[in-house]
Amino acid sequence: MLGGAILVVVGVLVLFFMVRVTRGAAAAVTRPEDLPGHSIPVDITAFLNLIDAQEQAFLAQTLNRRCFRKLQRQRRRAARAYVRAAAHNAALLLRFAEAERDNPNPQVANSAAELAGTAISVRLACFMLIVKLSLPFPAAALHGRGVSLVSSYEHAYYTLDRVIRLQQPMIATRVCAAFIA
Amino acid sequence: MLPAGFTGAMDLSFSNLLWVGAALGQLAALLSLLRYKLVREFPVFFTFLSFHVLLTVLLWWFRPYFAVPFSRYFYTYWIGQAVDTALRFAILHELFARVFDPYQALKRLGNIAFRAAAAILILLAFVVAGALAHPDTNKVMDVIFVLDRSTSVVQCGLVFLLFLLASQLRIFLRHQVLGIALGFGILACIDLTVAGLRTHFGPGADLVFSYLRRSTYLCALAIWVACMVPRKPPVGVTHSLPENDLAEWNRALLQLLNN
Repeated sequence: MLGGAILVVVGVLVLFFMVRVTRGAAAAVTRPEDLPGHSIPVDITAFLNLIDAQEQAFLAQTLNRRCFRKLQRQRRRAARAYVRAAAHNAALLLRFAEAERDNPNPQVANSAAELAGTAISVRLACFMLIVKLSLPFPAAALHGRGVSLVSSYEHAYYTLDRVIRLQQPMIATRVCAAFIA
Repeated sequence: MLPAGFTGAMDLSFSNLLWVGAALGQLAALLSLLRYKLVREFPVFFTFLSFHVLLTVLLWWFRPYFAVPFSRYFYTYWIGQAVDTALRFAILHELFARVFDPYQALKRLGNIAFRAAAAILILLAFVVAGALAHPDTNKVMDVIFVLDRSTSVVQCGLVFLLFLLASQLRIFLRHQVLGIALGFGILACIDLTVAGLRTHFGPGADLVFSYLRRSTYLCALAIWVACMVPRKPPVGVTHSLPENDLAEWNRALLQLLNN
């Protein structure tokens, strides 16, 4: 009886989840002008500072233990917020890239495919880093992941710039500026 | 009070309606696939629809209505169910490939996720199905229902995984892929729900469950027919990169300075 009820509940919940995802898929970013309104600028320098191993070692030396732990928690929280913003932006870039993949201009279509691939890599890297930032991983491991994420994010940024410049060069700088603070 | 034969006749006519509706829906989905040249993109789905058109014709022909031995209908139906289950798994694999293959970073992840989830869900499904075994009078039917429940759990889990990965990674699901996945997802969810309800109501409500499943299949067919229609891609302004951009800026700046 209980098992049957669980199956019914699971079936209904999965059904609702699918419908929700399907409805969400309709809201797409298709034009470059749509991007700045949705993106969150990421301050890369500040983010790298937050996960810097040397900076952490310096703080550990300078501050007392309690103060350092408290500060470290806050730094990790801030770093997670940056990573979440990068993940959000990567999702936007992916939507935009998918819309541009069918562009009749092969240069735009190729660059959009590259942008989609890079955006996915950024999103995966963000997931991994959020997990690591939530667990007590050593600073060196975080720094390595963080640098790799920044490198992918910058690659996505330059690819976006190329895609927009091929279509509307006048707005490329303004649109791209909405992704890096 | 309705006459004794009235409800039976009503059942038969409703059943026929569902049957004809499903046959037409399958044919329409098949023709849509052919018309919009999507057969190469979804070969397994095409096989699934073709198989179902053939199965519908066979089952219609083998119905006890036409004084054909019942065993012929019985075996055709259950062999058809087995092939249908195998094809559904193949379609889910096809959908995973269509969703993840365009992304180099996800190609392996999609494959691994599908296989790992299938293995875990198969184990889970047999545990669930065994725990919920309903003592049917017919032992063969009991085994068939256990297998049916197991496949429902696995299919529902795989469709859920597909939607979960797509939503978490914000992967764009092309409307054909989305439509096919949604159709199978709805079918799997209703199958799972019916399997759960059957443990409570027993075989007495099988007719109602059969109607529910067949009506859901009609809905899935409607979704598949609708999703095959191609959408026009958004037309953006396409310019080539101006080669003399700096020269123009320079000229404009000189003009401004001269003024």
